[in-house]
Amino acid sequence: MSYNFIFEGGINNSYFFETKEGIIYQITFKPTPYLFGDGKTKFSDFIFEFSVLIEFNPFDKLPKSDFKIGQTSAKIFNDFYIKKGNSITIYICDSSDNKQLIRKRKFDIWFSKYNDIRFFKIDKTLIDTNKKRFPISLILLDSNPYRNEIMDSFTSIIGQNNQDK
Amino acid sequence: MEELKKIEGAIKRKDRTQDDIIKYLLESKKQTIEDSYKFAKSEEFQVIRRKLKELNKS
Repeated sequence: MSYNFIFEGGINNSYFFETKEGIIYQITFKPTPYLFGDGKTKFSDFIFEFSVLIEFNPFDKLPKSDFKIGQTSAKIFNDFYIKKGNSITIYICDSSDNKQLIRKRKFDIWFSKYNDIRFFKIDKTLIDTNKKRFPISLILLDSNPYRNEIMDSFTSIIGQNNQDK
Repeated sequence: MEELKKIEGAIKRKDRTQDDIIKYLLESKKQTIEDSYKFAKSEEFQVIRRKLKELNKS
């Protein structure tokens, strides 16, 4: 069982749901058209950055683990792809508190648990000049008509730059 | 928002670096989080809360 959710749309394609503890989450798919360059590729308008945000927490501490959040997020993911089937979702974790690897692990668990094989995920790591690592995932439907071009573009922006590190 | 616009200029260039890509994605994420904080204090969010309460009653 998952939580009920609502789609509010807007620029960031926002979804909302409330847990049994009264915590409200917002899930967004924000347009991110420049990942592959100047925004003129065939698929630039279909690139979205995925975020899971706590919008309201009535407690002083971080929410407890709740398996329904993963289930609900997966349902929202599916709903978004029903609305926009050719979407390409980018997931990069917030690294401001250095917990990006924990977030990535949780996301990977959700993906492997709830993916019904229609989705395809590529995982890469971006490395900056200070050798700091930023895990990044790209997800699309296996049936996406630009699948191979997208994979090539993604692999080349990561691979080419990492060779210099 | 200004910072993101500047970074978008850099990321559109052909000679962009991996640091440019990282900055673009992290700045975009930072903007999303800041927008979320602002939204939580807005009247629009109170409307969402009421909608969720209604939804979960049924």
